[in-house]
Amino acid sequence: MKEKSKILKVILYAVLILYAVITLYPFLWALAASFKPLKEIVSGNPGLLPQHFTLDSYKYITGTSSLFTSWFMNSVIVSLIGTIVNLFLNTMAGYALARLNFPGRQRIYYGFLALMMVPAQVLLIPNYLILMNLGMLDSFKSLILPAAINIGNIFMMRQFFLSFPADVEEAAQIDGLGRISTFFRIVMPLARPSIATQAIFVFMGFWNNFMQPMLYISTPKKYTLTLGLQTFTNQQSGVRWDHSMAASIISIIPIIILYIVFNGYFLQGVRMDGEK
Amino acid sequence: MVKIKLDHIYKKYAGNDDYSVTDFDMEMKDNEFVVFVGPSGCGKSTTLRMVAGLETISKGNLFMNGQQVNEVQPKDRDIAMVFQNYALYPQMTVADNMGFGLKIRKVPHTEIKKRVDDAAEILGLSDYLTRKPGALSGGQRQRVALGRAIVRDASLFLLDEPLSNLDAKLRVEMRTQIAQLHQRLETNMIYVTHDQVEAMTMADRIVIMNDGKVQQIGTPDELYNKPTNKFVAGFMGSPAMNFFDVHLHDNRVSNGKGLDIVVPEGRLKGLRQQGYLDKDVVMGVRPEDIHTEQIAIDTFTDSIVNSQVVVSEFLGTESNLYSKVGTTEFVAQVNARDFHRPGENVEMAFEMNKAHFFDKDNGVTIE
Repeated sequence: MKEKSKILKVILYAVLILYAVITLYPFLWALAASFKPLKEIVSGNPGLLPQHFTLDSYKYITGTSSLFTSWFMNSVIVSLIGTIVNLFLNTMAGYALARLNFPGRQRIYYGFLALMMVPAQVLLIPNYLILMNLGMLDSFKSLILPAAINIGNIFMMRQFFLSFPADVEEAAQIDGLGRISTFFRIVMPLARPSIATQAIFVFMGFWNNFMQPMLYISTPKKYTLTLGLQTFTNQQSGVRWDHSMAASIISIIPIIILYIVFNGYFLQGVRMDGEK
Repeated sequence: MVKIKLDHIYKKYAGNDDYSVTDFDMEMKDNEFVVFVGPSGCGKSTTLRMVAGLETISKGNLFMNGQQVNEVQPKDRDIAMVFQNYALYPQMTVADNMGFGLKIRKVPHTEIKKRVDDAAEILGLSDYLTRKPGALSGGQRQRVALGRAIVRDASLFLLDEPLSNLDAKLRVEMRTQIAQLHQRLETNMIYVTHDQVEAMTMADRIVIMNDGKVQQIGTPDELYNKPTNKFVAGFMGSPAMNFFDVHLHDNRVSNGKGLDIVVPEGRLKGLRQQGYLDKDVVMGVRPEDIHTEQIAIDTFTDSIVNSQVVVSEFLGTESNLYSKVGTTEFVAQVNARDFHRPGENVEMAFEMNKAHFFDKDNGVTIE
């Protein structure tokens, strides 16, 4: 029996390692390609180690002739502001739906659930027309405002606050805090794991967003990274794999940093009865 | 010190047809320790929460020092509260938890530290001030919750089943500690519990509730010895009072199921005067008023039953004998020396001078 489970374990590990290699290989190839000259990349050599190691691609995309730095900063600005606005609004909305008694609360909640079923693609054209009428096209506002709240995250925060112990809030009330200060000083710090999870998803959503920037942004200097990256593959000189790979590698750095920063919160479970 | 008056208070939750609390009327004396006791869902916690300001009052008035405070916010009521699940702030240290209320009230830092240190010393928490609640045991957390209330130096302490999450031994320890705290702080306390032993041992006065209604307000002695109805009689005391549906005829009560004993003239007089002769009544006899000692058998010769022990529990100083006479079951609490094994036939004497009688229809005590 023991022998059998050992064999099963070996098979399982072998499958998982194979899967990891299959998944990781494209990433490692991109990483390697970013340090190779274009000739070596297109020569058909699938090897990972660069034969002619070079930082030229990185120098080019961060140089003055490239708009890459602007795109990167645009993405940072849009993603950061969008994430902060989302965290603020989604968390407050989730809290209100879970905790505050106001007329029509349940109806609003069901309305939100119904809206979750609407595919994002359906909203592209109406949003475009609204933004056009508001004169917001070709600005960061067009990327942030329509995505300032996220019903999925409101739902997630509502579920969290439903399980949040009411007596902790009541203790704060008796200690002298009002509703708003209780929310910011007691509830928010305890909701950090949920907020961190939300932050990662929202940030990644903004960071990887391609469709909206493509529709709403027309000035190249205002492109976000996703849109800018595409230009490397559209130039008349052919696909610049070297530049494209270097830009791609740089573009995933913020996501990795974000994951490292918030990773602790994913693993942290907080029991609200005073235990951790 | 604060004078508190709950003036005919009612509570109805939105969407409910019935009141959760009905006509709660009570005035608290200075430095009084009042315990609200009753089964789950009887409205005791709801009443406490109305006093705290955490629930609105549907009808009636709450007065503190003569001022109507129905609409006053909890933070402005000069109260401190201890919650059943401690309700500590997990992200703060013990010291911060205890001092948070003072910090909000902008009490100077040195004063907060002094008060927290003093409370920690009283509660034996001095070594744990830098720890977070997650690193404390249940008893320690409960003491932090008490400490948080103590440092506030409030006029009224509200304690909502604060010991229900502790084990039996710790509960007894904390019970004593809370009683000592009350003496030391000389303040009003309202304590909610479903445990009648806690109520009996700690209270100056007990309010016993059922179905949202106050059943009786009185000292532990009054509630135990002079219950106003069958519910109070049955709720106070462990094991609970034995109840027998009996018929009163001449000077005897019988139930046609093996129980047939004489009611002494002293008890019979009231029953007769109120027209219960030849009627069905409920008789209540506390387990400790049923005896097996020879001296009792010789004394209460008119109220002896030949019973059979069904289950016996040895508790150290006393024994509970779950017995039956005919098909009538009851429990007797006797001295541990009089322990009897299941199956034994034992003569038992009912001390009928201490028996209670209740109206069969409404359960009200017949004096």
